[in-house]
Amino acid sequence: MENTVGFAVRDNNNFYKIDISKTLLYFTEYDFTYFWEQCIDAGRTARKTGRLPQNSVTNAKAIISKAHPYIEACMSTDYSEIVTDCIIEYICHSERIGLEELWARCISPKNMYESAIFRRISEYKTNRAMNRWSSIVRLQEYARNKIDFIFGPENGVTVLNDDVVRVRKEYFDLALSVAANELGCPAEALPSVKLCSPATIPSAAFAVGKVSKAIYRRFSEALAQGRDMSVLDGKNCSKIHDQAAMEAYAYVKNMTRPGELDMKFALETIKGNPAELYLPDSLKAIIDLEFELMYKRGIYLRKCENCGKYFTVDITSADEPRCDRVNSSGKTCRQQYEELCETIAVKARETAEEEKRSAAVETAAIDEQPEIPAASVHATPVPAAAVPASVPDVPKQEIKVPKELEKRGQKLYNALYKRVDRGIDENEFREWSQYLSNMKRNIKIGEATISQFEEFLDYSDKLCEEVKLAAKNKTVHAPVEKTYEHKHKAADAQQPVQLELSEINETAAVIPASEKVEVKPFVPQTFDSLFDAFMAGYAKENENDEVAPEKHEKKQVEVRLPQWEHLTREDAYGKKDND
Amino acid sequence: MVFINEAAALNGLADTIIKGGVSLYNAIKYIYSIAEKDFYNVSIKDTFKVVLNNITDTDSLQALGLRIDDITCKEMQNEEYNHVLPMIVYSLAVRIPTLKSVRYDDDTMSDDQLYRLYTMVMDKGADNYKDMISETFLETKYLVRKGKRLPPFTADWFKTYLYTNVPSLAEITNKNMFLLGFSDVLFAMFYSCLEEELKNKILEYTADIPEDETE
Repeated sequence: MENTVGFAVRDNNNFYKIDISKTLLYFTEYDFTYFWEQCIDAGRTARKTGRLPQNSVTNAKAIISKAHPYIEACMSTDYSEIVTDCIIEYICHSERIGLEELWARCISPKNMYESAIFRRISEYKTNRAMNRWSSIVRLQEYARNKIDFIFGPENGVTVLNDDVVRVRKEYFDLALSVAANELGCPAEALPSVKLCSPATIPSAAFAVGKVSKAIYRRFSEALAQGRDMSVLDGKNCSKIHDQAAMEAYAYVKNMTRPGELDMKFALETIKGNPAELYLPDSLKAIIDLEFELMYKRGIYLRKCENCGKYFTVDITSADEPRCDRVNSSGKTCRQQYEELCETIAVKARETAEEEKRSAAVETAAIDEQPEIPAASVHATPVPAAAVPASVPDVPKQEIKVPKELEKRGQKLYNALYKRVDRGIDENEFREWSQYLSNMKRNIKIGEATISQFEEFLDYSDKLCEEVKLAAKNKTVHAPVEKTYEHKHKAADAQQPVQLELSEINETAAVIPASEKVEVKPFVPQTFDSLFDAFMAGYAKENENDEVAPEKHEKKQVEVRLPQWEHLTREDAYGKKDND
Repeated sequence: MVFINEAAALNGLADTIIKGGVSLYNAIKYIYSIAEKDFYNVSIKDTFKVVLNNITDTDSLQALGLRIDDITCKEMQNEEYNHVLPMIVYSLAVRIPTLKSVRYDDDTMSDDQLYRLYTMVMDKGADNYKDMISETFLETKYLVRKGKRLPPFTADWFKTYLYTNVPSLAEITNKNMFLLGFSDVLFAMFYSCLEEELKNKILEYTADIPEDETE
């Protein structure tokens, strides 16, 4: 399916198109600085000369037209005063004054510049216009927030599927509707989009001009005698749409199909136009439309792990974590990452080979030395730093995670995510999800195997069951086992220690049950006063001294009890002042 | 009072009075048009601010989206209402003697100068149609000379004229009631601002006289 849609705007006979998701991304990343600077320059010149320099105005308009096709379409209508809007915003901001004050300043305009400002603010005040510049800036922020809300990663993990995207989108839109409803904003005041065809848009008679002229020629006589319906202009016609339409239709209702030649001519004209046309009534409406179409067509956005910017993905490439944008290095983020992975892999291979070589040398040296008992060899702990975690023993190969495992992981993620704080602690979930993404990455760069991933998923299944159970009981799941990560670390790096423990367990089994040490619950000692606490510690020390007299010799601390003396006022301060 | 160019000064003052009259006449129409469909969009307070800050020019009201045409001011587009303009100018002209209070170095406009100004304004088209306005130039002159308080500048004659001579505006409708309501306030405030404007004009015409000429 083609990822572009056509749209038309009122008071413009041309058709425009948006590239779904790309137009939106372009708009959210558009830098308005240059436009802003142009406007400020124009304003400064106008203050001196009394009129806005047309060149600067035209340039500034051309710059901002590029931000979005809708702005371009409405440049001669809604956005025609955008430079004045920007100047007004700048004056209010820099001089810290409100619109009312600026309006009062220009109420008796001395030149065309002041007149333009006065006229524009008057339009704001009478609801005939709004500050289009500040509106664009706010809508850019709105679009960014909406993208973040719908497609932004959660705890470092991006979840992109139909349900999640739909729910987030609906939730976001609903929040706005609720706010508008609670504030008493009428529904007609909010932006909307109509779906039309070129023949049903308001400017159809001019947009499809050639065919319209041919039709007019057929019915010109009847139409010349018709009732003037222009009296309805400016009136509230929301309740009489059908009546108005039928009145107009009455003049063409006896229409027969045109001749073959006319039909051919009409076909040629109409064929070039899009079959479907959207008619948005504002910039927000078309931004929302783009989100809607993205969802319907399975086009998502994803945050690049390298540059942090959003890029377009579809359902098949939703897991691609890096974008194809060329960054400052002259390469795309994806290329850069692949090259980095390759370098790491090569280095890891070299390190592994070097280690193998050094291990062989060491073995040869050990063979020459007298035999050491096996237990002591195992007991020697291997320093963790010596075994780089990123260097597996298996040769590295780029492996793609199978779809079913990918789905299984996603399913587990969703199941656990639902139960955060209702069975699983948020930190634990974060740790788990981080491990999941690391595991996927490691598989991709050949540092982990599919079987390891399966093993992790098995463990995660168990964890999920526990969490579900805990969520039912409204508790946090009991950590019956160590987390997968901890378990594996122990298994990989501390194998000799485990052997030792098993030996200890064997000896423990020989000890009779009665001799086993019972662990009593800890009960903190309570004291009535600081002195009691001090004395308790002193007594304990004495007890210990009895058990271990050698310690007593080392610590000969003399503790003196406080001795209080009763002093009279005379003793303390001498004689009274009077004396 | 000595002006650099007395004829030019009197002509200028007459122009200001005429322009003021036209401005008030147009302002009434513009404000009346609010009631057509902009009642909740245009603030009448803003409209008054614009009118009173541009006492001789009402074009700025168009910035508020107000238009005078056959739809918005249909009831005013007739021969009877057209007589209101010369009457407004007349109502301002009869108050010319009040300019006697404007002083520049203890100098005031002479009776002759005031009368010439009045004649100029009358010659430019002011008219007391059907003698609707009871005030006269002589009466005002008398009150000023005696130092008595003048009656306030009100829209009473305007309303009486509409009731008796303009049926389309005498009818009880939302728009017409709105007109009768705002005209009272507008007339009083407008006259006050026009008086201020005339004082400034007089001072402007006398301010630049070289010292030796005034002596």
